[in-house]
Amino acid sequence: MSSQPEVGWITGSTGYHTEAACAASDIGEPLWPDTPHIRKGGGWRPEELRTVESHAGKVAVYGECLATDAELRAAAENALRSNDPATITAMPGSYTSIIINKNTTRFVGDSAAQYPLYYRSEKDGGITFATHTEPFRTGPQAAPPDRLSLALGVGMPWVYELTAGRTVVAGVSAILPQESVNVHRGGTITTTRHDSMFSAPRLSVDEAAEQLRAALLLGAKRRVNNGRKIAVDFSGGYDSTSEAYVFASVQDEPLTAVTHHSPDMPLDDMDYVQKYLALPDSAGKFDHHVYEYGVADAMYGGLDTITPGDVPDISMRDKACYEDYYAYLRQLGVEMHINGVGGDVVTDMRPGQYLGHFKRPWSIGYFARAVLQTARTEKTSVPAVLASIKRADALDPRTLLLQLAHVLHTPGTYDADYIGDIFGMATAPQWLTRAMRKEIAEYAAERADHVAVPGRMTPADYRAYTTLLTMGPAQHGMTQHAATHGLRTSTLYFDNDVLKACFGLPAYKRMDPWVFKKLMGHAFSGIVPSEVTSRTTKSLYTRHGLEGLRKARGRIQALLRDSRLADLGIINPQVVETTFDDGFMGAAVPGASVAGLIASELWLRGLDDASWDARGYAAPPAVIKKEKPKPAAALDQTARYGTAPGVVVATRAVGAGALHMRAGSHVRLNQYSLTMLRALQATSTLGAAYDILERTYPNADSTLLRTAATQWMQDLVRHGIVAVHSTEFAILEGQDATEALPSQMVRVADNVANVRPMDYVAAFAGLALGRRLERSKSFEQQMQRLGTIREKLTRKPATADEATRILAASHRIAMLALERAACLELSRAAVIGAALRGRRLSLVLGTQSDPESFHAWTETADGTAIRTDADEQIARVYQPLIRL
Amino acid sequence: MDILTDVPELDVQKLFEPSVKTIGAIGQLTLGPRSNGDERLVNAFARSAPGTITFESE
Repeated sequence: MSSQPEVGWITGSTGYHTEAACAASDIGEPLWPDTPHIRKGGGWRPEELRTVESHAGKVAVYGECLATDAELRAAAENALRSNDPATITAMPGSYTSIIINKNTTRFVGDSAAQYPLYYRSEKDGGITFATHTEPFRTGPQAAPPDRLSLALGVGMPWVYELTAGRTVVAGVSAILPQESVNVHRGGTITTTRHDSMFSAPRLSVDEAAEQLRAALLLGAKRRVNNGRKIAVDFSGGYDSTSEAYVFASVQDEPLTAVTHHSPDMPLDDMDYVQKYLALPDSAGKFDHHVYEYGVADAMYGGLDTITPGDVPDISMRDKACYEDYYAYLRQLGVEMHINGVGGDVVTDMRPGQYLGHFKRPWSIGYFARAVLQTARTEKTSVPAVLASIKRADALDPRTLLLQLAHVLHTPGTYDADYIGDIFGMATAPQWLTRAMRKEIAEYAAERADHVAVPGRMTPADYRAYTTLLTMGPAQHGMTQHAATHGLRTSTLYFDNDVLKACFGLPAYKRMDPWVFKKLMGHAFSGIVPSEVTSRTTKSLYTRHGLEGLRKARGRIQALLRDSRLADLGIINPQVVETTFDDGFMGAAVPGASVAGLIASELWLRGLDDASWDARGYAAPPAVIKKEKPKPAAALDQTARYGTAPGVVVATRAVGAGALHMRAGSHVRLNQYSLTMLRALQATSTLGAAYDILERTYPNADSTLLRTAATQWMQDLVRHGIVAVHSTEFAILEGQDATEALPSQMVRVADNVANVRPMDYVAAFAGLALGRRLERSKSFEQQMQRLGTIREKLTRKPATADEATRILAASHRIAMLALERAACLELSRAAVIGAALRGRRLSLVLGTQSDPESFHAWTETADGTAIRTDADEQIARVYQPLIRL
Repeated sequence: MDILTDVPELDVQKLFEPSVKTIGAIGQLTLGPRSNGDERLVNAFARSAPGTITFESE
């Protein structure tokens, strides 16, 4: 705390009698003059820590309480008289409260878990509490790290039923949202649930939208009234851009709006930003700035230099990037930074999570239509959607924990979707040691009897809310980091009133599969331009993570070689290394667990590096020995990436990908092999290619690199992808990499007004014939037949208008298909449909990397790509691989 | 067209299955393909579905 003077803190005890309280009594200053046992310090702003004192007692709120002084006093008086903790949660904003009356001290957590209060029950009664964990992990009563909590943070951070209330410091708990901890005179401790977030009367959609609108405007207005210069992220996406318009509507001066932009990323966000700024509704509202950063600098940067936070939250992953960003904002004079965190959680979720509600006789019609729509938008089949609804319905909190315990207790191979449903997306519970998994399994089985969806919540709302609560700590981490720059970061979407308005509607009314963020769209009407709320795409920033991971490779490998988590018997570093090797080589990684692992390793190192061994955190017997991989093993592992039969992985080297397909074998490219291939294309000489490879990866073991490259080259030769001429290698003829398409060449097939009846007939026939081809022929044969059909039927090229119409018609017709009808099926239908009308269209299959994915679309003869507004961006993202 | 004559047998349905599952704004929120499908991808870390997960017995 002392090293972060801008970060405000409170620490204390509920009595004078504990040693910790005595130890704390000489730091900071008393929160009230007559409470030497409750201290405050650091850089609280006046609006962040507010106190009220009356004859009935004392109340302190910290965080962002947006109440006026009169409102705060009224709420405090009410809370002091009442035993209902919900009375203090009725004010606007988001804050944690301490309520002290004659008989009881009550601690009421904020509703989004973003303003923590940690506490430890003391042997002699009462509790010691603090806004940071530091007082509990330093000094004479220092507690060791809590292994189970660390393991949960790495292996399954989204399982709220297990992480709730736990901290990474042994014996220290965190106050839960929707609950108060009450310490009674004499030291007895009780807890009270209030569920105020869900206790309001149910609202209609219009009422909820009006409440949400009022809550957002009030939240913005009250923040503006604090007199701090505010900057809002203006990403071009839905949440932050909408927030910017909300703030601009309540501020007299132009609002500072900042767009993060990576010029080296093929994204179109900046195009949208410029489009929005040019709208008449934006005139005079914004003082716009662009903050540029490299694609590889967004995540995992500065792992050698960043200061770990108070707890290992995943915001540590982005800390280096935000270090520069916060400094940039401060240069602009900004004191309050608004991000868009939380907007997704309360207003959007996968339909499979909430559609089960409609599985009743009287709503079966709606259910059927919603399932069809979901199948189209999730690009899957109706049976697959029904299966996901069934899975979601079956996973109540108790069942989830029992299944989780079973998986952890039973080694074996599981379906990834099943693991994702239970443990949460992008996690890697398989990293944990067998002993740790057993420990968690026992904890989960024990917890299973104590978890349930609270009475007034629907299962989907419970899932949404617990997801929100797993985000709170990271928002807190960002706020604490910002504070070290004299800045604060905040989001409207965590405010009490905003959450209450959203949860005033059950999930199945708050959302539907047809309209994105339905409730939010209603609430923003008239404030946010419809162009923003109707944007149908959003850029994918995955490459930031992958590039950042690769750049940080050396540091991450060093962390794993001397892993503190392994010392504690939490992870099996060899299993983790395999995953990271996949990531470094270009495969996908479980991002949440990666972030959790790095944050935990850095946090553990920050505890007390020198005394780590002396503290006796010795590895339990079950821990895997950390051994540096032997060269042969490493080589085997590297060679593993050289060939992976049956797998085609797209890369940016389209020519290379085509070569692989031509050769009749599927060779998985990674960054090394890609570099090697490009070097060979450039030099045609093995020796020169080696040199380029070594220069590109100066930190890699040169011998290993050459050996692996040789092995890989031999694989290529074996597969006939390269031909050997003496010592030189020549790449077989392949399709050259195609320049990404300029964005203006992309036509959006979103207007169905001009679609003619014959377009529908042709589209229907195209879909049916395409399906027939798919069922009866191999892919190669399908393509050949498709080519033959087109050659025989077409008389002249389709115009862009004709292509747009036929694709739009295919989309409409496909809305009734039970099977999957996504980019490939629709493009194929459009090509066949156009052919049936005598028009020629090209079918293009394209690829992109980071993330590896494939896409299909149609093109006119002049190369104009046709897409619908439901299709992802093609320009600057996908490169054509095959053009039929 | 020429290149297609050499296209090998592919599990094309597998290739075109949604391979990207995403988590939300600061990497916390599990969303998967977006609910309305129009805005399917969020600015987040993503992964390709690996198919299976193995828990070693050690």
